[in-house]
Amino acid sequence: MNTQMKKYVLPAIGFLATYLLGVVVMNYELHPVTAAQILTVITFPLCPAVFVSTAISLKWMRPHQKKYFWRFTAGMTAYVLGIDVANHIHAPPSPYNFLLVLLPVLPMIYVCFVIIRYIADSDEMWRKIYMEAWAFSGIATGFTCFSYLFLRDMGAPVFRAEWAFYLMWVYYGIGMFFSKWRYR
Amino acid sequence: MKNRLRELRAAKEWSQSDLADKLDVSRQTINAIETEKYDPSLPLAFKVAKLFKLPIEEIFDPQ
Repeated sequence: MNTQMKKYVLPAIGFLATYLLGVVVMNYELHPVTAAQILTVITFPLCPAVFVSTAISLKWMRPHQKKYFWRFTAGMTAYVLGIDVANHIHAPPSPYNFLLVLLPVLPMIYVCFVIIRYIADSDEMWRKIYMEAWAFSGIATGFTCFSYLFLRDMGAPVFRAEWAFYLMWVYYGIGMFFSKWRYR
Repeated sequence: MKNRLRELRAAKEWSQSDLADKLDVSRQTINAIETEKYDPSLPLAFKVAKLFKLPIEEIFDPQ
């Protein structure tokens, strides 16, 4: 297998193996019954699978991508630990308890800086592709959410706030596809 | 913008990845420049010119 093949095949194998292992373990632990539980078992193992395949790809990554990987991993680990700690703290009742809940937001701010730094360190064509994709994502998400206000008045189902986050990533994917396609 | 990047790279027997490493850009960027889908910035054009030891106008034709 040549290097070019290894670059794609090994991370793909790592992704599939981790994903399948994750699904099997979660299925064994949770015994999913409801649609929400099944969705969790199907989607949650994607996170470790992406992590493992990216870690395998590190060998072929450019230096700024490696730096980004470790910084992003550190930020997300701090975020997950922060949520876990926030869930286990039994602080006495106080009007300032909301500050404890907001603690995990700090690693998220760090992750935002890491992403901005990554885009800034990318080479000029990729910087343009990322910026176009993010611009499309931001504008499309904003207009979709704003347009929902009109639908809501007409009796549309409730639009949950977290859906805006998922929508942003969907639009980002669409933006990336078209932006990359222009320079392929 | 028309350019002679592919021809100059072939003369040196470099792959797109080799040239990308020398210019500190991605291989996709080299491919996009060669296929004239992407016009490089002035600093990158100067880097290309310096690498091939040619004036910019002999590599890139803005017509």
